[in-house]
Amino acid sequence: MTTVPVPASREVATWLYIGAAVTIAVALLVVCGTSFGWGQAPLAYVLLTAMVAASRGTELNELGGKVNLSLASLLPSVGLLIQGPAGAAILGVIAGFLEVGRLPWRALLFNASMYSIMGSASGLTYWALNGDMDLETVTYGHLLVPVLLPFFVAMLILALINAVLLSGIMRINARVPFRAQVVELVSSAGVPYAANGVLALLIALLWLPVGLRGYTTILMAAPVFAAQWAFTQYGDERLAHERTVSSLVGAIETKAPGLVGQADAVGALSRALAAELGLAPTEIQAIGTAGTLHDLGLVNLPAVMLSPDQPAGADDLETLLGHPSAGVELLHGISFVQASLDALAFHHERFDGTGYPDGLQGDQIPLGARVVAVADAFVALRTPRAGRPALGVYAALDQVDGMAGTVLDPAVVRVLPPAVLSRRLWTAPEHVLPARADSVLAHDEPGFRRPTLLGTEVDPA
Amino acid sequence: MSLVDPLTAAVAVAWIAAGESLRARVGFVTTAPISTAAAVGFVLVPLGMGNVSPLVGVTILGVVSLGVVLGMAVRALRGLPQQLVDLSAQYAALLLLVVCLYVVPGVGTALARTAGAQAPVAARAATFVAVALMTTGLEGLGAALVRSRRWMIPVRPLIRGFPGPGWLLGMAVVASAASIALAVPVIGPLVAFLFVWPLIQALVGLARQGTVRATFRESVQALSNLTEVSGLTRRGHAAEVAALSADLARRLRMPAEDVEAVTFAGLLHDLGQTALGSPIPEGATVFAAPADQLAIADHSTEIARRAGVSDRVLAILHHQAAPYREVREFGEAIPLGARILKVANAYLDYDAVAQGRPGAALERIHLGLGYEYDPEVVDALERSVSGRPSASRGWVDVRRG
Repeated sequence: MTTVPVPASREVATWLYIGAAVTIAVALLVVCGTSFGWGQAPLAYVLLTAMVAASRGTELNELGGKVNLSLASLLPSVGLLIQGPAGAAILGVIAGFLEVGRLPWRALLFNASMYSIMGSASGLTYWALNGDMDLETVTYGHLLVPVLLPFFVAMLILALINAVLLSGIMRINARVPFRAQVVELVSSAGVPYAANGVLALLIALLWLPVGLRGYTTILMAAPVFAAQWAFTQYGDERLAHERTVSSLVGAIETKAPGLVGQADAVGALSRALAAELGLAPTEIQAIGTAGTLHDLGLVNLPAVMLSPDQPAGADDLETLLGHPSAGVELLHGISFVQASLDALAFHHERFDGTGYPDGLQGDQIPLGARVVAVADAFVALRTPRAGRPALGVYAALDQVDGMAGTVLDPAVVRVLPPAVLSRRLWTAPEHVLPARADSVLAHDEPGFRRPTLLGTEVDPA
Repeated sequence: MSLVDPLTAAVAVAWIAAGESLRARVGFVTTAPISTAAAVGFVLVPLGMGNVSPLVGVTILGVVSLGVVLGMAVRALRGLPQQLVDLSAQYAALLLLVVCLYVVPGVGTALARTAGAQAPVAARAATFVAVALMTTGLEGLGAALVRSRRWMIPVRPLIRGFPGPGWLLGMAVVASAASIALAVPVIGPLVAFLFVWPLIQALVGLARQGTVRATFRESVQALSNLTEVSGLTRRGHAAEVAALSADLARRLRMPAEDVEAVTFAGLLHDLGQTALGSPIPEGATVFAAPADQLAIADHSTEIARRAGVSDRVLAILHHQAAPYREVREFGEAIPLGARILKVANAYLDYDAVAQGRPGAALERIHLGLGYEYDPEVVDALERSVSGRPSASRGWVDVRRG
């Protein structure tokens, strides 16, 4: 079992990483500035910054970290074409500090260094590939090989450095697996980066060969704003999903105050387990949503049954059998949760085939459902009940481990300790009035009397 | 010197055709931003080179028409509707532009003084922007005029209500067209027409905005089903209340946004029943104790708030149980939408109980006239139900009116 990491050492590592990034950024900036000059038009820095700052970016909350889907990378890209590598680096620094007031200073410092490194490295790439350093006189036939191809490669380098540096700090600071994060960043931010690259090229072409200079920022203001508006729609989509899930959770928590916090805890842990299993980002998302909404079907039950001090009778157990499919029925009209429905429908199946509703066994149970089941069991053990306090983190982990192969999928149970410990996902909801161990609210408890397909009672495993 | 550079013409045809097949809906019109930008930019290129003559104009018009026709063919092949009104507005604006610049004597040569190659580049850009602005403005105005006549509503509110992203898109079209006209002689048509790129991004954003709205509607619907699936309220009740409320709102001449808000509030009004300790018989809130009614309203509001519904809807949900006399006696600011929702809900609850006895529900409402219910809304209710045989069932399918 892994040990709980000491947060202080993580802080030190984070600072060391940021320090290294700053050092590299400064070194590259000096190298670029002394060899290529500091850019021809100081006013260009001001105008470009003003144009991009006027349409500041939006942020997406991705797996545990922030992915900045904004026009920030536009600045170093334009800079590289009209001001040279040092100009790209300087505009990179500016791009990093555009978020002043929205991010803590440490993050600003890191972002500025990162964008600066991206600028100077892509600038040097462009130069090394014999890219035309004087766009002013470029014409018709001299565009593809001397400008477009080197610029394309430079943009690839820029995006790659961004993904690697960002994944690095998230590995150190938030323990997000490095390789999965690089893949996630490239797949989610790849398109916006390409889009920014084209936009940068257009601005540079108007600026130099066409000769509009600073007026470019006026002419291109509307297109840049339109592109920015398009980016914000990505964020709005994510927000709409979060709100939908949150309102459904709100409905169930309004009905059963004894469940407050449980949905979010299971959702977060399901997401972490899916990430530890190395699943694709969309699957992680779907399983997380299934975890959050896993008990939605309980709204179908009479409110009396959802009271913490109401023992579940034999009839109630039968009603309980229907809650996974009731949840599915409630969600069937919402398109973005369709991928989560399987996991939701079968989260009470048991690995040995004695669960409900269908008595599926082993691999017949959808992977998402096996993940949610593990998360559900751990959170239940960490929740205090009437007559027993919450189990300690390690005790709960041990007890879940004991259920591997019978109740739970051993492959998922294996990644539970790293998922819980590295992300500190061990806090569980606390309630003023702990639920009786035999109430419906405690049905997630591994020791709960199991309703079976026939509705007869089975002794606890 | 040939009339029009063949490569430029070919690239323009391709982008115009592609742009036409990517028409998108913005507000009350459909627009083809990529096509408009490519066409206007292409029309301006000869002007920028001082190449102005009727013959050039006719050639340009032929090229633009070819692009438009190809675009229509692509739309037909993909089974998309042609949107002839908006297409005509666009084509008419382009036609007018070409005729003014190249056929009407004097205009083109006069403009060439500030748009020609010898003029300062900033002046050329400004001229191109001005001409492109007028063209897209005419296109928009034309589309608005047709809509205004067809729907019999004044043009001005129609234009004022045009969504913000639409204006931004229009400005971006103008900038793209001007950039294309400036760039073609310098960097060639293949690269210069890439200036439509921001428009492509904007179209993707528009599509995404559509998904966001769809998600919102779906989640409102799912929340609305919540109480019905769990048997707390009658099947279809929320949809009936939403439809009747929307109908009353329209009869009371509320603006479109308010009608929509009342509809959403109708769908969500019983959500708070999930919180009740013991369910109300049939979920008919009108028979519930006043304190319970207020509690339901509060819980509904809280859950709906998490769904991200607008403040307008939240205000209606919050006040749905308030009796009318609070407005009369204490001057409370209860939104009209909430008074409508209260009447619609009460009427349908009474009507469900009094099945088969038409008019019974209205009688019950009349007992609370001026005290529980807003007389103005009840008036509208009478007009609304009078035309319908028995209002007990049959509202379910008129949801979007």
